[in-house]
Amino acid sequence: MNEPLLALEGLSVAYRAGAQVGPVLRNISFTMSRGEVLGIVGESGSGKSTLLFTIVNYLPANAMIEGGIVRFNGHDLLCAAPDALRATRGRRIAMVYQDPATGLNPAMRVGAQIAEVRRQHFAETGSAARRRAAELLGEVGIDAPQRIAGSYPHQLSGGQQQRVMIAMALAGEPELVLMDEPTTALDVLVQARLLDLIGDLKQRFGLSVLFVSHDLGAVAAIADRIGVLYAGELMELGPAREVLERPATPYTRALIMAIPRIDAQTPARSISGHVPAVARPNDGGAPLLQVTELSVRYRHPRLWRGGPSATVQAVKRVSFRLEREQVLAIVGESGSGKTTVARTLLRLLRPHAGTVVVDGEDLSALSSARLRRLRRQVQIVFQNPTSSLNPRKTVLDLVARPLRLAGASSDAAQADAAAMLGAVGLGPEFLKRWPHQLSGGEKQRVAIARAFVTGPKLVILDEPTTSLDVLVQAAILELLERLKRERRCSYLLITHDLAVVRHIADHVVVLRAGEVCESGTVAAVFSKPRHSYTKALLDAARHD
Amino acid sequence: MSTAAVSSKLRDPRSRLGHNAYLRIGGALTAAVLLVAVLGLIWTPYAPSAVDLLHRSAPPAAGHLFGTDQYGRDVLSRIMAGAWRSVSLGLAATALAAAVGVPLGLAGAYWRGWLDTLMMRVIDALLSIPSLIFALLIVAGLGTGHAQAIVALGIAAAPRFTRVVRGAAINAAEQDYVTAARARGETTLYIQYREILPNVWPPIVVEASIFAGFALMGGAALSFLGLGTQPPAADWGVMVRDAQRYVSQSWSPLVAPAATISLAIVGFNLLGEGLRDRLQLSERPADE
Amino acid sequence: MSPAFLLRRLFSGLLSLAILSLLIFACTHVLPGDAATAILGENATPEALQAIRVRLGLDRPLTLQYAGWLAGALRGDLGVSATFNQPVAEVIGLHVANSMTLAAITLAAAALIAIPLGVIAAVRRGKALDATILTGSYLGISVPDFVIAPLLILVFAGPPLQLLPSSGYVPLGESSLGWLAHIALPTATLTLVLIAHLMRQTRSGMIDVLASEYVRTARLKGLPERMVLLRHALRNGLTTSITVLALDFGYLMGSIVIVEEIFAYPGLGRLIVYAVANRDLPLVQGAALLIGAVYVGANLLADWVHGLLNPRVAAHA
Repeated sequence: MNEPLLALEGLSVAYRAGAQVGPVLRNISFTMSRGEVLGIVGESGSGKSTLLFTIVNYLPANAMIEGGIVRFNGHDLLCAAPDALRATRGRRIAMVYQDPATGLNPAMRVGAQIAEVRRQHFAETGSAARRRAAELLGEVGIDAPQRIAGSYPHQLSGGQQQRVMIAMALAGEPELVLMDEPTTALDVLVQARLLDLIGDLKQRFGLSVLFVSHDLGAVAAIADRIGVLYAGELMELGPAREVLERPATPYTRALIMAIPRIDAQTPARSISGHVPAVARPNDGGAPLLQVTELSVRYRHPRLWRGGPSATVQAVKRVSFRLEREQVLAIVGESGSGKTTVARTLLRLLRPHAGTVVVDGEDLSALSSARLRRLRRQVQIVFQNPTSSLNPRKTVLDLVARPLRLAGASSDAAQADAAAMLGAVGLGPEFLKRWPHQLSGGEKQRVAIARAFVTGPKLVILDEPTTSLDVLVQAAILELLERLKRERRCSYLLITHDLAVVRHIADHVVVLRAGEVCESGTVAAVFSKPRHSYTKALLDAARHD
Repeated sequence: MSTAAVSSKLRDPRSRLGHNAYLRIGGALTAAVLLVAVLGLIWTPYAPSAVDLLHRSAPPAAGHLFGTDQYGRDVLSRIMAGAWRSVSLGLAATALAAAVGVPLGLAGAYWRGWLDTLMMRVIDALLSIPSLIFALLIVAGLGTGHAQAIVALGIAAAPRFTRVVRGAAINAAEQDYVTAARARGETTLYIQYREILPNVWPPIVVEASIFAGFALMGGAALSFLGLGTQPPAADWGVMVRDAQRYVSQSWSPLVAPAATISLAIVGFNLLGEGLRDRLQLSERPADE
Repeated sequence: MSPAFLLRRLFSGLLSLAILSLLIFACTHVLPGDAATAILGENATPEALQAIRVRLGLDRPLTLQYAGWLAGALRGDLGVSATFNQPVAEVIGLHVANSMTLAAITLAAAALIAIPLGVIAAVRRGKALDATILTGSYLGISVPDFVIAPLLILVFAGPPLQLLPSSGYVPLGESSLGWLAHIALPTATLTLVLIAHLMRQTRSGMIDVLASEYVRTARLKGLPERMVLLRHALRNGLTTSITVLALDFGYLMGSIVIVEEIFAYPGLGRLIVYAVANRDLPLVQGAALLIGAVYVGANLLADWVHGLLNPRVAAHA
């Protein structure tokens, strides 16, 4: 049996949109052997999802296969008859997607959804199939498989749902499992456990996995070989170690370098010459920001989309301080309360107890006039620039607005805004553009310009790089570092990404379920974490 | 490419040609209806109430394109003369519904909280009564007539309008640009009307266009029931009501205004649908 | 489905009704326009007007009037009709069954015709059949009931066919054939009005479901298309149809008013038009309240079925 399990030869796919045809995959060729985990890394738009859907011959009507062959066990899947395809899908090739919440039928118990595969492909009876489904749930590390099998998807956590998807994929006893960003929608700790599971399943079942992700760290953790997809082309393909250590193309090299790494032994590019972890002595003045015993309660659940649906979400007795011209990182998973802290600092939420003192002024005791003045001193950059820029305003209007609000004349505001945009690397040609005409990185630059245009002392960075592609992330981090040096401001960095913390922060506060579980200098916390939760977070991050 | 992008491509959109056809046909019909309504104010082929006893219930012919009714009045002239009443009713009721619905919907979406919850509860309750019955209730209070019908239909539609505006605005109100505006200290009026409203006017315009058709239908229905425009004044609903009784003598006095009403409704509906598709197309960011 | 979910829905339904009662009362009492003048005419003497106000209780404070009316309504006492000189509840009782018969037949017919057509259109999306169904439904939405009904009369009741009576009503107990003949055109009109909307909504609901990721999951499991449709898509798609059906019930009640008027059908709709035209306010209030209550009940029923079909709804609603 020398036949490879999967062989792609010269595969090219394009999408038709109106009269235009946009190529998505160009001349892709590779083979996979049995028992191998092949990881394909690519940024959004690189065509990696299309690659997976082409393999199972499940493409939208406007997709055109312009050439090439997909051979699975020697059979050409692109020319397969519908019956043959059905016999292959779910049985020989199974799939796991990015978002298990939408991939599972909301109206069907998960056990039945798994059992369905057994009934279809192995002609098992209902009870045998259901028994097997529960066994499979046990195999993928679900604690009470019987109970979970009787649950509906909405009753499970994201991690559990993804395990159900994996159990469903295993139910067909497939030779190949295609995984499309299977960990991206999950929290850091859950991600790490899921990657462990996939590695473990590969060992136990001799699975072959084609794993596609934007996250080089995740791919590196489990792949035997790594491929790099860029703009529909396979730039590079080789053994994982080789690709990571001796990348052949400049793009891959940039990709690897751009990942801010958590272990100090292999510093990321931009760290050179920067001493991140030592707290610089202060001029002895009062701290810029002093938060004391802060507690926040919500009476209304789901205050914003994706917010907590629990009845009460709280920050409990949180204290920290931020010195001038320093960077303090608040770290935690989603739901830890880190965004709540940011909103309280902006006085979008009222604290239930405790005080926030910014630049010597107590936030809760301010008159409205002084609050307005203070708002110029405290600015925020959001995670998602698409959401933070009003799509109905031009770049110039967006950046000039804070100045206009502060009372500047229209001409002066526009001149200053244009200068600020120049400072973040956006030339005059951008002034009249609309947000939808910008790339993700350009949008984030506009958002940064808007935050800095009033000359703030404190800028809150709410996951400023999370929604960006890896290469853009590095550039934005560099921009933020430069602006901080030039404009002598402080950052409050809110993130779940420890690598970014390592990169630019001086101090770190670890939040869990609304409480501070550890704080200190970045160097101290990272080298000697005292709390087990911090250790777990660090381990999960080192997994990459 | 993300999974979401693939799945959005799986939903192969109807061709752009189709959208433009909606917009073109709807726009043309609406424009024609408006033109007839205005023209009818200044000129009609015959005087709309001129009785011609020699040509009663005449079928369509060269002299009377749509025939004559049971009194020998020219049906086309009556349709033209009644057009303004029917069309203005639809537009005025829509304007009234929007005038109530836009501020309430924006405020509810922006503030949320208990006031919004209360407002939505009231709106749910109001929507649990069919809008024609709601309009009838108001007519019962206000009495019959053209102006009363406008108020009745406008008020009856206001809850639905509020809900549409709120539904569209809630998404916009949750975006970070609204948080950013609050964080830099913008007034609530600025945020509601300058940050949120520009992002929600497409659904409002679409809803307004479609509702204008429904209001026209509702107005005609009220007139048809004898509760809207009062004779001797005539709009299209009154014409259908009158003609119904004499349908065995001639069909054109019934079918002509009925077809006109339907065409007008189709026009407003298609215009709305076309606008919906068109606006959403240009809404879509370039990178999707 | 938890009892808590149903209780919550029941509570919100009752709350709706309470708000509705307030609205009905407000429309008929707070709006300018005087019931006494409405009854006696513009030329009545002030003494006569005052007398009738006292008799109707219109001289009392509004809150008291409302409380009295509501308390009566809860006991089933909706006051006395000003034109029939009979208790409102009795007058309504004579008509309500006729209207509910129309509504029930229409809903059943519309569901049986529109839902399968909508599903077929969605499955055969973009094909000729889909286009035909879509175009037909578009016409159906745009042609109002008071146009459809006279046209049906013109064709079926007028010469030369004269198949069916154009108006009136024969009770089922008297002559089942006569009943059927008299109810045929009203229900046909209402069904035509309803199916267009229901069909379109079913189609778009099914299209969304068919484009969903869980349907993709089902296909990539290797299930045959028939199973994907029956087991995964239909169940979720039908939830849309059921919600729409309940919402359409409200629309139907509006149409019933017109259709009953046209066909001189002795139902609640015709009664309410009569009451509005003659400003018989107790009767208007009672009829509107009843229609609201029926609609709230229909929505409760839909919520319940919806919860059965889709457990997620019951968990999050």
